[in-house]
Amino acid sequence: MMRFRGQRGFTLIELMTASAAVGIIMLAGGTFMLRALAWHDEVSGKIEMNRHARLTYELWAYGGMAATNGDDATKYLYGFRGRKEAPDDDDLRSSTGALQYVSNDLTLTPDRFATMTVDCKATDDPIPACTGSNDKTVTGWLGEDVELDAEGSSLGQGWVTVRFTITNPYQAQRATAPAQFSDTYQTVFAFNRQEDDPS
Amino acid sequence: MTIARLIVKNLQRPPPGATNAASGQSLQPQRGFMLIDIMSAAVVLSIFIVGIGAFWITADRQVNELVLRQKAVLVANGELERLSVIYNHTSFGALGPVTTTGYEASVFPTTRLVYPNSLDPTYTSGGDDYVTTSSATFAGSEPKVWVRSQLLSSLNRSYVWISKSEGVMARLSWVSTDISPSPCTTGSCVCRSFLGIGTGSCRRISLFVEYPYRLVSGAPVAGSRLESVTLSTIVGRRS
Repeated sequence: MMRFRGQRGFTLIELMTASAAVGIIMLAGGTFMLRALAWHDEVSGKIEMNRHARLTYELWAYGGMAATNGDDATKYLYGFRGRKEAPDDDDLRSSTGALQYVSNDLTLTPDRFATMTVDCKATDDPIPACTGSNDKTVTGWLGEDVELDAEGSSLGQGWVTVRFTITNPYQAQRATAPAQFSDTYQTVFAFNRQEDDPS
Repeated sequence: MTIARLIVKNLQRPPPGATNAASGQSLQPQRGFMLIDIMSAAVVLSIFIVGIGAFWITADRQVNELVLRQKAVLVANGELERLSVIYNHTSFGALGPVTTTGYEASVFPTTRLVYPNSLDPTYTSGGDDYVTTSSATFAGSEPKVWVRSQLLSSLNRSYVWISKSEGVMARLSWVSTDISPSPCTTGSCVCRSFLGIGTGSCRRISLFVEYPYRLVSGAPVAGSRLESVTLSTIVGRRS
């Protein structure tokens, strides 16, 4: 005959202690996982903004090439360094925040994303392009109008100081701290063209 | 005994408390996890979680440093372009830069050049002077160069903003070396004197941008670890 001996179940206090310990671990783990997702968003957003800042700088510095001919019968869009004067502020950013560059009567609009609607809460919230509590449609990274300040005309060759804001609207909509998804960069470009710009 | 044999032996061994039905032996006492087991597991998991958390914190800090470095690179490029214009079109290369010394030991020269206290009226006019000795003016204007003027001009230092919104600025200095490229020492491609009269030499400019510095009560305060961006170009008097 089979006999059971010495077997005892868990006591209530043991179960409660174990449950509490496991609960604390799961709570900490769950919180950590959610926070890790937020960290991932922040890090990837900053990397994207940085990448776009480089792309923007390179387009403005070196220019680009279009598919059709411009006013000087070439396909070249001249970068700031290849110009005599600064371009018009309005030629650098579309109404939806996309980077655009106009030179030689040609226009490049690189690196746009799918159109998205940002639910603005107030001016500059959650993105700099918000002007109030209305929706804002965006397709690009430039969060504000580009600031250009041309100087150096007294030397015969000028330069332009450039200040631009890069925003990641997708991340800004989801973030608890949207300011983390906008950043401002500045630089200076010297003009090296002697004759008038083709325009 | 090999590891494989150990595994096989463990697989063949009945689990603790199992009944041998043929012999009618009683079951061994069964024990669940003890509190110390759970506590140990909690400690191990906590260490794991803290480790992963530290990874994210490190990643975030490094990305922030990357963003700051990108800004410093753009500013360095810009400052070199602006400096080149002054060298190329004025007598700045002959008379303008102030020689400074006393920089901390590093891979960079300890004797470097910085901007004078002002570019007007010798080198610029009409509001083109971007140099200021006023920390208040510098604090209110992003593209300015701030020259922190000292009693001994050799101790002057110059600074630029690399991220004004974050209050981060960089120390700006450069060295210049005469170069005489042999195909260009005679004829129409001769390098002119930086005074604008007669022949001279072109120069290689190496610009140093060191950061981060912060403006505290009108004085620059260096960060605990300085990073640097170095850029070079060749300048020659054109007009």
